[in-house]
Amino acid sequence: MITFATVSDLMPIIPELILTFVAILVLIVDLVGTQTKYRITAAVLSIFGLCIAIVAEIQLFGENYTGFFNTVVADEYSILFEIIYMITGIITIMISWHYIAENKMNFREYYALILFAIIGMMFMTSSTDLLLIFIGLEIMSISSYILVGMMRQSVKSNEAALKYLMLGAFSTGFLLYGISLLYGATASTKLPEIVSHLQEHGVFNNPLTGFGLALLVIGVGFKVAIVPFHMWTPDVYSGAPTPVTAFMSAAAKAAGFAMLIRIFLTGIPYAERWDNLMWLITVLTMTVGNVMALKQISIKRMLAYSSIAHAGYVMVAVVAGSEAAISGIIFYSLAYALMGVGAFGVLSIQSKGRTLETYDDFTGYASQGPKEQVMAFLMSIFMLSLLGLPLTAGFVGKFQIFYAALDAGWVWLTVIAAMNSVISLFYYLRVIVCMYMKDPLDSAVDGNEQPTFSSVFAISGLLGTAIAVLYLGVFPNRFVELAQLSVKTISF
Amino acid sequence: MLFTFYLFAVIAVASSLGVLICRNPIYSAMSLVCTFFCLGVIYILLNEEFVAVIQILVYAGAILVLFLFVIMLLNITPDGELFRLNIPKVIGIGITIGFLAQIIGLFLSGLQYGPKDIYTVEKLTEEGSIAVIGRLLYGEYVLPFEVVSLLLLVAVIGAVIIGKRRLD
Amino acid sequence: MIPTQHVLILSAVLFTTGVLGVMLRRNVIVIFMSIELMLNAVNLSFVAFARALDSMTGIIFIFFIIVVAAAEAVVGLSIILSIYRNQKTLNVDEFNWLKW
Repeated sequence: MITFATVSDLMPIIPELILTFVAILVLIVDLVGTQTKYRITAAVLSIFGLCIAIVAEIQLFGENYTGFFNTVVADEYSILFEIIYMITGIITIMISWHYIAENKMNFREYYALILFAIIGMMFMTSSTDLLLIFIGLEIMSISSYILVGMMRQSVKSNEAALKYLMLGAFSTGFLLYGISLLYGATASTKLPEIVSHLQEHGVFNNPLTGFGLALLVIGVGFKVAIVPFHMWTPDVYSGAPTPVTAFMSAAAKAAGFAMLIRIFLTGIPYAERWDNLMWLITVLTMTVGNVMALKQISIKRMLAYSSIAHAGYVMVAVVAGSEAAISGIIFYSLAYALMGVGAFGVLSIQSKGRTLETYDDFTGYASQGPKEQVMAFLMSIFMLSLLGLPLTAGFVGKFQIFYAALDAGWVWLTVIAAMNSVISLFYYLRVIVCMYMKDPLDSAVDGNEQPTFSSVFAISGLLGTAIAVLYLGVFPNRFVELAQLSVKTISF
Repeated sequence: MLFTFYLFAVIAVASSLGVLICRNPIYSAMSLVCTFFCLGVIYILLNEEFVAVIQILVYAGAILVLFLFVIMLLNITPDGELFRLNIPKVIGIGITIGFLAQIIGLFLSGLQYGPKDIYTVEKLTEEGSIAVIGRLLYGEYVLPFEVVSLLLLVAVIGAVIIGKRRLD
Repeated sequence: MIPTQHVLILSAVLFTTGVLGVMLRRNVIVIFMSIELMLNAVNLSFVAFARALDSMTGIIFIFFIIVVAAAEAVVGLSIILSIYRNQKTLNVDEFNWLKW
């Protein structure tokens, strides 16, 4: 008896197919032209492809196609997450062009690799078979390793890539061992079958499943950087080329959480003691991220630690585990993707031929010229949103998560999370204070520059991001409803 | 057959420890080849001949050769000092050993496996395990099979642009 | 018949050796070999379970793990080459940035 896939099985993966086609096209364009003007062709082509893929996703919305023996599903849940990755991808490409030109990263494969990473994330999100989830995860990870190490002349970038790869491969080992134990206990790698088996037999009656799930948590925990598996984040984020950091902190983290929800929050029954462990991890993640962020002198490193803290806020919702919490995670992923990519994006834009990284570089930034003024304003919006001030996307996201946690009865966890938000006030506001209320250091004042086309391109991307952050903060209803709807239809 | 299994299991563990304690990376690599070979034998004992062949061809034949190439290309000298212990590492070792003890205890205490599938050894011998694998790869697992080609493409791109000697 | 438990114990021992290698060794290439050892231990555990369950899923999974291991090795070794060109060392303790 043998069954084959048919053409109709391709329906749920049409966006992936489009992106694959475009990515390969970008590689070919790269071969055809060696002159500078082709570099923009690759960037524009990638953005164009991402837009088409988003349109395709919107067409698929509500249709709930499944294919390939139910191993890929195009439910609303995965479609929303995939749109988040693609929007992040578009913004990343817009800010990358400038960075590549300034730092002489003369590789046009860059854009193709970003597209491949997005394809990997999409398979990770839309699949219900641990095999395909694993392969998607690896496509994403390997593309990220390469992107991180792309500035080959920079020692930092090299070492960041090595560290990322080593710890990534190490965590893959744990993930796979966990999958193998689960496979032994349930005879399947398909999530629906695993879940129904576990619901029937219980998780902790069979030590294999308990152990397997714990190892899976370690493997996934490395990818989304929760404490104690976070130690790679600051080094990798600060060593990587800044647009790549933006991309990883926004899209890769969202993909990690999408995978985490798909594996752990769709019906696996847990026991009480499991909750306590996750509670501890969540509190540690938030606190370590925020306290360490206070101590940094480099803003890039500070943002890296703050991304750990934000992963902690998302973990609050994971612990709560209710439908409202999951829809909160979806909204928060979108909000964090926008503000994270925006904040790192501001860092990636050079000012008067200098790379800005530390608080000192940003001292008196707002008074240095018209371009700097715009940048300082954008940075303030992103900082306030990361902080969670009302009228920004960050506020709505945090509100939803905290509300869901309270609703599920996690009062202390919510209190600790709120206290952590207060700690974060200090380092986010410090950036704004530095930019607006201090005089620039002597070295920064001299020099004048014409804004290049590439920097205008990048800034317009950031401007769009900032508008989106504010829009989501003021009119969140439509998106909140979409997120709630998508949680209701999350299917196997 | 049981004796062969234990013999090769002991050799595999010994040579994997060799990877851990050899100062010279080349010796480590050779120990690793030995481990892979022992695992290949164990796969044959478990009636998975095709996996055994792939194990030897790909792991020992390709991946390890790649490691050896790099070691020789970089002319790596033996490590002066093998380990440098500090407190986090000692804690890590403690956790790892504890994990091992726990999981061995778990395996010995009796396991509940999931429901059995249809591919018994007799069925595989009758149909040929390679035929069954081929049919599954192009049938039920065709999507992962195609998607993994993207992974290889990404790896090729990465190797070229990171390993390339100088910028164009 | 070989008892499945014993194969699983062998795989656990190999996995732990790999983990210890990653944590203890200071040479990047040896760390990388230890990771390969971990993946091999996982393969062994998949084969053991597949035999015990009379299932082919585990066997199929192994092929994909092998492909991923090869891809990771290729990318990892090229990063190692590029680091060595810049740094002339492969000892993780001597890297300025890399604090394990």
